[in-house]
Amino acid sequence: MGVLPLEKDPDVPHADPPQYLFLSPVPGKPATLVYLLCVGLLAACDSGDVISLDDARGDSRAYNLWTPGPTDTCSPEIHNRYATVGPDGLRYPTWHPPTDPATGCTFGHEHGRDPRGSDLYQSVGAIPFGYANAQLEISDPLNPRNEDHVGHKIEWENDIRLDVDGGLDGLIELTCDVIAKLHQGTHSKDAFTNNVHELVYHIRCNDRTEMHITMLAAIGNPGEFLVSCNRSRVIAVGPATPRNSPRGGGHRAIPDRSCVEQHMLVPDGQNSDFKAALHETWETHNNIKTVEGRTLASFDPYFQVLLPSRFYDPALPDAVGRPINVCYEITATGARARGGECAQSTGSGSVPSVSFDDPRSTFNGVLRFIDVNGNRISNADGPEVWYTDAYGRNGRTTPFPGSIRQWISKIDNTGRQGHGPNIGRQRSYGGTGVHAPN
Amino acid sequence: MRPARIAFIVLLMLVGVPAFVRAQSRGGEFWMSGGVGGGWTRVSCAICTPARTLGPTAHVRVGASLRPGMLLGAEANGWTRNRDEGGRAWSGSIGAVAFLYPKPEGPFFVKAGVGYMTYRADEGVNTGNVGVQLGAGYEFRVGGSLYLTNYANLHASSFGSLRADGAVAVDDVSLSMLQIGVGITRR
Repeated sequence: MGVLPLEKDPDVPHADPPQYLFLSPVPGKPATLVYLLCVGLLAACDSGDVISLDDARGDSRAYNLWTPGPTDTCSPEIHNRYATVGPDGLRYPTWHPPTDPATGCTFGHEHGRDPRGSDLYQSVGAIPFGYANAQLEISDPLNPRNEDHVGHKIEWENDIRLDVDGGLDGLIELTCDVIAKLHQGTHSKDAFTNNVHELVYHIRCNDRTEMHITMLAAIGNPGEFLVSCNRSRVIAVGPATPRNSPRGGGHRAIPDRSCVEQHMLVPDGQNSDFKAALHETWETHNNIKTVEGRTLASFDPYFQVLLPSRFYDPALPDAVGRPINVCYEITATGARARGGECAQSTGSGSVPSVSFDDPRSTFNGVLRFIDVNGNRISNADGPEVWYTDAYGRNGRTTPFPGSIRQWISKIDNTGRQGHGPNIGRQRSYGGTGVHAPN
Repeated sequence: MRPARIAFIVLLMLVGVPAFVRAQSRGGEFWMSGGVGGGWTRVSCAICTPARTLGPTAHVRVGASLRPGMLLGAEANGWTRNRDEGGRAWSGSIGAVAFLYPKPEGPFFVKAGVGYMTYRADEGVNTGNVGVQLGAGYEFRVGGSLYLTNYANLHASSFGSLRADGAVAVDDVSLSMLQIGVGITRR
């Protein structure tokens, strides 16, 4: 059954209970609406804050983006049922499992961890994929940033313990719940040039550190990236989309052909180190700033993908090399990919010509984790609600066209800093039928 | 509280308290005490770890008797230990104390005091505030005017701030220190 949580108002992120709209996913049967009403000592559940999918004022650009590939058995109609209504009243896609539980059909892609298990889900609700992109299009219609559907990835963890900096270690304990969603497409050339990607970040800690942020994160410089196996090398590829993409903190470290040759194509007697060859990391540093330029909050999670389905190879069309193709290469010196994921994907060489989008290829981006790192808030005077542009800048206390509502707790935690651990390393989001592009 | 202010308070107590006491009738006998023992210190706040860490303690006291069975004085206490996270932690207090012997010639006493408590750890972590103490003890005369003093004290302060590198890390911090020890008192 497709659960379609309604959009939550983050005014009182702790208090409101969830309201769920359940739709029957079986084709041809009428939808059934069941409302779970507010209970207990809660703020009034204003039905005006809750909009059903049927009452949405339209579809976002991100809605209806996905179409099934040759091996995908779900229809777009089934996919579209996994949706939520954004703050602008439009329908947006949201998290769904790789396989529709009602019909058993496969989508061929996944969006990471089911957010309903997060302790934050009751207050933040379903994440609308592509909402920040839509707001940019309102504020800067000549420079849109449209991202595909499959790249949206969610990770979360409850009660993570932060490592406290310096002498406070052992004196204080910082524990947090965190949900992060990044559009991290590791199947295409997009990230070779484009540094702007939608990021949704929710965190709540025992020391009242709390923020709920939706933005377009500028990760490193537009038009270029660092080589993942040699961070001193910068590869300038070409102009970014949009052309006026801002520079951001952090960087995107992406594997290129040299990484594959160094770690994947090995002589006889050695096994390939696929993770050394292909480990990709997008290290973000994000700021929410007022219109005067004062930083209200900053956070810097690192998003890691262990086995992406592409690497940079300027000798190939679109500069996109495929690790699965390298599994079949033999160099002039006899070096080749040996063992591990190549053996697994090709049946130890018995299966010829497994393509990059074949579900049998393990180079599909399903192994991921996030380093939570630091979270700094300097908002002691408040308010908690700010409206920023899509890049998290120009923050003011009243909305404006194309603005995104952010929530930042009214504290200053800069005197105590902790660094979050990595989350998700022990999980694989592979499922039946999952394949690149993913 | 700045070291200069602490020193001034100590000097005031060392000079002022005995002077006050000697001004009263039937009092003014000088006394002094020093001792060692063990105890724990705990920094408490909403996000503080609940650990009480054990370590050696020490004290020094000087003062004068107000009347038989009642002593006033100034006291300094200290505690320290190596931290599991590395470095060393210190806590201490300095302030005024009063001793009451329910039976003036008896061995049992109770104690109360007020002063300034502080906690420090390496890497610039510290907190401090005005605090109070309560205690009790038992003395044995070991010869002449010397007594072997067994004691237990509990020091506590509240509403402090835990600072790290000069910045406030946590507000509403309480500090407590328990001492159990033995000393030599001359009175």
